[in-house]
Amino acid sequence: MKKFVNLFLLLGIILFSGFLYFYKLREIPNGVYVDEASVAYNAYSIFLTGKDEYGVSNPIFFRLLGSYSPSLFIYLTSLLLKYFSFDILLFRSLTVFSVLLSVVLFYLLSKKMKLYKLSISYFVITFFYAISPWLVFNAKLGYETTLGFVIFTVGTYFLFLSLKNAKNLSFATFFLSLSTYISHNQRFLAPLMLLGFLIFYKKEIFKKENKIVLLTCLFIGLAIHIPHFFFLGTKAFWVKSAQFSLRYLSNILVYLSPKTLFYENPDIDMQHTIPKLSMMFNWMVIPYFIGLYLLVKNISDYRYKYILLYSGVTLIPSVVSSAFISEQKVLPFIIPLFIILGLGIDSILKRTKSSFRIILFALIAFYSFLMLYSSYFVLFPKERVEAWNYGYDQIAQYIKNNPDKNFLIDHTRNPRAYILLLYHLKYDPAKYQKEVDSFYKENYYKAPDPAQSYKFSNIEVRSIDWKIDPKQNCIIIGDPLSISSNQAEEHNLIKVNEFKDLSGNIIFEAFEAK
Amino acid sequence: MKKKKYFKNLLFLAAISSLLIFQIVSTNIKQAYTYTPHEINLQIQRMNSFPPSLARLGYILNVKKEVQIFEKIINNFFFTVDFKEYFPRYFPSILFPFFILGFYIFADERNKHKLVFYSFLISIIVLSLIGPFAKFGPILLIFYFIYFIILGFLRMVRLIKK
Repeated sequence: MKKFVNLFLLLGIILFSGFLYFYKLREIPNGVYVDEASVAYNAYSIFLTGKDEYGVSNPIFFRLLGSYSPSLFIYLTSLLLKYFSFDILLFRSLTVFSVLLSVVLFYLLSKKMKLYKLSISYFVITFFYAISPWLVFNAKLGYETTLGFVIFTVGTYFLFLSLKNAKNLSFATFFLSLSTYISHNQRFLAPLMLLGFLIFYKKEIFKKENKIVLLTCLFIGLAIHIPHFFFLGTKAFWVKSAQFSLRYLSNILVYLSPKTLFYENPDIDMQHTIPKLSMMFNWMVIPYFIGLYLLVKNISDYRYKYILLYSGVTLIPSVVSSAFISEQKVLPFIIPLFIILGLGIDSILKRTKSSFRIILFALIAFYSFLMLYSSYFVLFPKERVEAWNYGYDQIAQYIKNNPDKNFLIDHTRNPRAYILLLYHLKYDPAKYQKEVDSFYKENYYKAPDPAQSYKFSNIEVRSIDWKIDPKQNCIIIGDPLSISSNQAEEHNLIKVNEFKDLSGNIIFEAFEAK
Repeated sequence: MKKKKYFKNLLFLAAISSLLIFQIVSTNIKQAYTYTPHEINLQIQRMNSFPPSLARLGYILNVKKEVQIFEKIINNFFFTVDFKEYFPRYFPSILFPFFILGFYIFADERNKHKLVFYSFLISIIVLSLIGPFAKFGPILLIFYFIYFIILGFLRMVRLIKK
C-alpha cells in the first residue's frame, strides 16, 4: 500500500511538472536563442546532407558560432527529424523529457541517501526541485546543456550506488563518459567527479575484490573516449579551457551567496535571467541555512561527504572558468543544493505538527507557483524578447515574401544573427554549404575566428557600410539603433517596413533607397 | 557565579541596545522605501503585462502598496544576509573561513549563548526592516561578524594545538 502511495505521489509530481514544462513550450521562451538555432540548423543539415553547416561530414565536435560543442544532442535530434517536423518544439521537447527523467533521478538519489527523517520530505523536496525556477527555465531550452546535465546526474546516481555495490561503478563510468559527448561543461565535470570520488572513497573502492570492476571501468572509460583522443591535439578540443584561471576562485562566494541563489541572479546574460526571480524561490533561504548547518555537522558521514564532493565538483569548473556568473554552467549544482535544502525542509517539517505540515506545504507551494507563474510565464516572455531574439521569424517571412529583392541585415548588436535567419528560413543546408567560406571547412578544428559577414542567396548579414550600402539596390534591415531618422534622411532612405514585439515596441526596421 | 552571568548579560544587552539605536538613528529609512520614477514605471508596465482576466493579480503582485513594502523588506533581508557584501568590503577575504567556522560553532552551541543567538536574529530582522542605507554601514551586524571570526579563530588555534 505504501509503495502504491509513493508511486502515486511521484507520478503526480511528474505529471504536474510535465504540464509545467510543456505549457506554451513554443511561445515561452519567446523567440529562438542563437544556441538553439545553431543546434537545430546543424541537426537539420546533418539530417538532410550528413554534413554540418560548413560542409564537414559527421563531425565529433560541432563548430557552433565559433565555439565547439560535443555532438550527441545534434545527432540525436537529427535522427528524430525523420519522424517530426523541423521546429524548435522538437528540440525543446527532448530537453523536457530529459528533465522529467532528472526529477525521477533526484527522488531516487535522495531516497537512496536516506538523509531525511520523514518519508514525506522526499516528495516535498522532489516537488520543489521540479518546480524550481532554475529547473523550469532549463527544462525549456532547445540545446544540449540540459541533456548533458541529466546524463551526468545518471552517472552520479550510479556513483553513489557503487558505495554499496561496486558493480555500479561501471554504469557510473559509462554515463559520466557519455555526458562528455553531450555538453561541453561535462567534459570537465565528469572526469573531476570520478577522480574526486576515487580520492574521497579510496578505502571503499580500492579493494582486492573490486579489481575486476575497476578494470572494467578503465576499459569502458578508455573505449568511450577513443574519439576524444584523436582530437586532443586540436585547438577545438581545448577552446574553452584557455579561459580557466584561479584568480576567479573568490567567485565561489558569489555562487554560494543567498542573494545569488534566492533573490537576484547576477548572470550578465539577460537570456539566462527571469524578471523578479532568481534561480530558487526566496523562502528557500531558510532551509538553505539549516541544511548547510546540518551538512557541516554530519560531514564525517559518507553520505554527507558525497554531497560535499558533488557540490565542490559541480561548482569549481564554473567558478574558475569565467569572471562572470553563469547559471547555466553551474546547473549540475542544483542536485546537491536541493539535497541540502531537503535537509533543512525535513528539519522544519519534523518540528511541525502533521496537521500544520499540510497547511504549510499548501501555502508555500501556492506562493512558489504564483511567483513562478508571474515571473516566468507572464513577465519573462515580454521582458526578455530582445535577449531571446524575438522577431527574426518576421524578418524571415518578409524575405520570403520578397524573393526578387536583395537584403542586408545589420548584425552589429547581434553578430550571430545569420544562424537565426538560416533557421527561420529553413534555408537549404546543401545550398548553404556551397556558399559558406571554404576556409572554415579546411581549418575546421583549428578554431579560426568567426566570420565578420555572411552571404547566402539574396541575403547579406553584416554591419552597415554607410559609404556603399545606401547606394545599393537592397533593403537594409536593422534594430532601432542601426539607422536613425537623421541617417535615413541624409542617405535618402525610406522606411518600408517595421517589425514589433508583443508590447508593440519596434524591434526592427526595414529601409530602402528612395 | 549567577550574579556574574547576570551582570554579563546585562552589559551585553546594554551594548547591543545602544548599537541598535545607533543603527536605526544613522539609517535613512525613507530611502529604503522610496521608488524612483523608473521603478514606478516598471511596476505599471508589469501590471499591464498580465492578461485581462488576471488584471487584479497583476495589480496585487506589482503595484499594491503592501506587497511592494513586503518586497522591499525581502530585498533588505537579502542585502543583510549576503555575506559577499561583507567580504572583502569590511573584512579581508582571508578571514572568511574563520567566519564560517565561527558561525557554525555559534549555530551548534546556540543553546549555550541563547541571548547572543536571539539578539543576532533580532538584529537581522531590524536591518531587514530599516534597510541598508546607513551612514556607517551595517555596524550592528559587523559586531557579530567580529564575534564569529574570533570564535572561529580560537577554535582553529585549539585544533592546531591538538
